[in-house]
Amino acid sequence: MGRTVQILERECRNYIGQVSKTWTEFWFIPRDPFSMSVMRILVGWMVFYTTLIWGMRLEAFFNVDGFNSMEMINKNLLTNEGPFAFSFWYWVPEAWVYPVHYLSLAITFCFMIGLYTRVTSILSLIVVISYAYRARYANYGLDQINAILTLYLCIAPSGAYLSVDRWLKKRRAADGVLPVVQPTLATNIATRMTQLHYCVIYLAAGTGKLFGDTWWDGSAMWRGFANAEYQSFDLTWLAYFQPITEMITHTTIAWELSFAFLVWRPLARPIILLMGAGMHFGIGLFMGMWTFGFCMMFGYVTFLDPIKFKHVLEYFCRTSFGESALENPDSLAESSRKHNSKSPLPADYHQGVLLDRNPETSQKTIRDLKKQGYETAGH
Amino acid sequence: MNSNMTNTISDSNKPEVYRPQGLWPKVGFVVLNLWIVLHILAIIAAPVSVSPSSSVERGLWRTLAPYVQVLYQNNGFHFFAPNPEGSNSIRYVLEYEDGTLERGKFPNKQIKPRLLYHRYFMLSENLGQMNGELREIMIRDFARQLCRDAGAERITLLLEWHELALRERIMAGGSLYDEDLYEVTPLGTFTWDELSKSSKENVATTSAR
Repeated sequence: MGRTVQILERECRNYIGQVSKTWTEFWFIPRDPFSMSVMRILVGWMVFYTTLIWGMRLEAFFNVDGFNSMEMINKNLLTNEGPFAFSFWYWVPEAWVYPVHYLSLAITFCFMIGLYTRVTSILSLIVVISYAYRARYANYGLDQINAILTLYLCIAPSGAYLSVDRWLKKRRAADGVLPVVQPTLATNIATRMTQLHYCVIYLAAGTGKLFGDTWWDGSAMWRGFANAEYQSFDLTWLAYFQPITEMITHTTIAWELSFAFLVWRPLARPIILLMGAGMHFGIGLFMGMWTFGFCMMFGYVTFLDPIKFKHVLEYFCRTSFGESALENPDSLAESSRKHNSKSPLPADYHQGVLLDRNPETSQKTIRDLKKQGYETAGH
Repeated sequence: MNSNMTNTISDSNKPEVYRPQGLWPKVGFVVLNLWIVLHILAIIAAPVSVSPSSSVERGLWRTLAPYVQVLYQNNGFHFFAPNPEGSNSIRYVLEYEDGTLERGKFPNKQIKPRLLYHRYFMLSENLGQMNGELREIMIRDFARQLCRDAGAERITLLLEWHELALRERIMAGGSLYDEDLYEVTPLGTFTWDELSKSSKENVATTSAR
């Protein structure tokens, strides 16, 4: 009996230890903030654009007795939904409405270009939430995704790359060389939270659809295409191709339900993300919800390895513009060295491989480096 | 493409896992872990509390509602669920001082850009789903704003439900816009005088007039 208890105790300890190790490795390994910086530009643009469009009918949507009257907000939002649905618009006096709107535009613009990113990211989140709550009855998925992604961009140092902040740092540096961006815990936590949030979104969307019989009988996508108020193109010809719309229906729900499980599998991830991008592109193209579709796709950036993503963008910038537009070579090479800490690459790695536009000579450099025992991750 | 897009670095070269050293970093680390757990529960709380839901799910929502609401993470994400349905539009007839009439509808495809179109679309969709006193308030809000935009003296509002056309209808020569797919509900007729008076009676803190 005593022996059995000992074995059980040991097994339990091993199991708890494994769980704890996996949890810590999932959340607490520092990560390069490149992907988050790219996402800041994309989401920042979307938040700025959303705010800009509100301004086209500011009176209609934000007037105290407009479409979203304060009477309605007080009676429904604050009483039914709860007193924590804060918006700075509740306290903005009449004369200050336009100045506050212009200030919000300036804040979101600064966030997009990465100026004082730490502050402007938090202020942009306040702007997104405040506009969304004040114009509650004109909201849809775009506002929700804007808020989610901006929240995580507040946590990560999203101005670390491709930002005015970075440019200012370079100007201030004595030798004019950009300081190396360090991988951070905050980036990893923000990245993981975005990834998990996407899993929750798609799982909720998928399970919600399981209640509907049209998602089972395959007619749901036809119903979506047949909604005249949504559609951008006449898709009635699809009525004659029933198997196609049924297949899209089944694929959509299978994809939504499996996203949370398959996206973590390395082999399935590219397929899952490409399918998602295709679905959101389709939503944009056929239902006119470009902004929502793009915003959902922006979050996919967090599923990409930041170092590889950086190298790919570097490559495209080089081939398109003839030189690196993202980073200076020193910091990129340094970044590669940091991620190969046990077998640091020689200084000519970047010059020989990453900046080499001739595939033959770059492959030769890689082979030489491998012979010397260096690891060239991703090549 | 590498087989693992997030873990491109081999195990031996992985950046080190953060290990707090000292009392305060350890306390901070525990708090950070607790916050991560709380946040995960919070983002789950909103979608699981959508009806039908259990008392446990609703309890989770009520407990975490302040945190979730402050951050505007209170969304159910039930897009096009349980079924994609038809849509609501607002039709209106404006009457001017000189007796001329003007008919209109929102959303309409003349509203550009598309994001603004969807803002209007969500207004009519929300009205279609509301009932009771809130619906009455919203109708008056819409009437008032449309009157103000046009400078009209009188407005008649109608809610138009556009049912989806089945595949069989299209194959039999029908269209998405067949008349019998529309169902119109009168919402009322209002004068600018009464609308502006009812507006003044409400407590106002902001205005973009």
